[in-house]
Amino acid sequence: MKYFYLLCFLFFNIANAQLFDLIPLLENGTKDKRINLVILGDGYTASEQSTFLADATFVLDYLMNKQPYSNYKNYFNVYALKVISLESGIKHPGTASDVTEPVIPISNPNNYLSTSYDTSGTHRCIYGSVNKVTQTLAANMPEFDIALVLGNDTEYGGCGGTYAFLSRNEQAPDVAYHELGHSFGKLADEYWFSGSGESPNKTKTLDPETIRWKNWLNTGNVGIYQFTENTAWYRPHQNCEMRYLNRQFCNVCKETLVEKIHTVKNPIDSYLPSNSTAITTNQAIDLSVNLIFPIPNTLKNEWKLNNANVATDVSNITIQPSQLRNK
Amino acid sequence: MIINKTIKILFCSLLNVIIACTNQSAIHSSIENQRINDEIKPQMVYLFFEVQKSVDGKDIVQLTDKKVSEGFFKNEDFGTAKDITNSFYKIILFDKNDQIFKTSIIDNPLSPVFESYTESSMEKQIGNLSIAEFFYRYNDSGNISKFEIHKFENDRSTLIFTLKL
Repeated sequence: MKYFYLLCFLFFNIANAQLFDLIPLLENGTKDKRINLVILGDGYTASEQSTFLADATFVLDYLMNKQPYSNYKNYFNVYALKVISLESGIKHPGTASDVTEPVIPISNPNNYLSTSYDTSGTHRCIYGSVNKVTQTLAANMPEFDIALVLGNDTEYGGCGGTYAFLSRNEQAPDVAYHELGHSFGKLADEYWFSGSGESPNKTKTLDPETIRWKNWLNTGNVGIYQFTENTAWYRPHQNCEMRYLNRQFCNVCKETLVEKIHTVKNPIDSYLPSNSTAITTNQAIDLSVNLIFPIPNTLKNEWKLNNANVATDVSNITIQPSQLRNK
Repeated sequence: MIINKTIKILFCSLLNVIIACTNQSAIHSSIENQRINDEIKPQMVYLFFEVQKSVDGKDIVQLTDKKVSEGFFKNEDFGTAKDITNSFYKIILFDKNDQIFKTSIIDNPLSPVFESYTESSMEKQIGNLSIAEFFYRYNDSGNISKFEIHKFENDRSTLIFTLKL
């Protein structure tokens, strides 16, 4: 019997750091040089992994066809982590208080990340174990930058907390689009929620000269709009994704997300010569830079020597010794 | 009897595999240690916690797991607070000179904010749990010596957890 307990102990330790297949769905560079988005599946058994890959690709395509991700997809890698559950589906305890249960049959599948409907008493709120998700990521891709969980059930649902959880319902990917506004861009909701304070897209400032989004006023319907539920607060737009689902981000939110993209991944992908290369000034010096271009390209580059422009929007230049001697 | 024998055989095989892997990683580790001695490499650290509300209303925090990998977080603040309510945790990292190296704010795990959706609208609720789990991740270049969690509630701060690193 002691062998049985020891065996259980060993299995437990192995299961605690389980490794799963990480499948690249979009790969624009090495992991250290791109923003790495990981989509984890839950409630997909070993035989349902092809369904998971199709579902993850559907979410990826949805995200990468909406701004600003459509413009900045070259900055991203996207991976599907094939988490294998013993049983299929999302748990449904039937404990929601916002509907007359059971809306769908009560079930308790043994899924890996404990993803469940009825979280916090709301039927459509799907959520799971935050630490199980993070431990799974830490074991399989510790350097992830953003992650979301896709649950294997067609009933519409999703919930945002530390991670965005969503079902495989075809309307659900917009939940991920909205949630990345929070988890990646640190944007506030533009519908009324008392819990959030000053944010890139929520403020108590009314003055157009000093308001956070003063540079965007009167462009793309950006203005200063009062919350009716609390008149001390203002939002920049009336129809932004941070207020309603199935919209686009307003200019203010787009700018915040683009700035975040550039904070996580510098547009300069590589350059030569490297910082450690010795340069001889009595011969021509070749300089080059590789940039990650948005789609369409809006990135400008300028080469300057002693603050004087020597070239614009080129990736290679050669500096002659005479140019250095004259300075 | 047959079951017992099967378990014994299975146990021995598994133990062999694990010992083989451990030996491999021991050799690997010794080479790695030599390299680390030459140059400290940046590390990505994950700390996992459980928090429980005690009978007298205190938050009792326990470290449940730690995972360290070689590398660097580009988006180190993933998982930090998205909504600053009147109750949150402030994480403070101290350097080797006991000076504050970094501070972060995370949502109070016992009062998690969940955002739920219908096909066209959204709403947020603040939960009220008696037990919860949370994590914190940070970049370490060998200069972090201490980790503290302070709970802020209605502008009052209480130190609820300390970890020497």
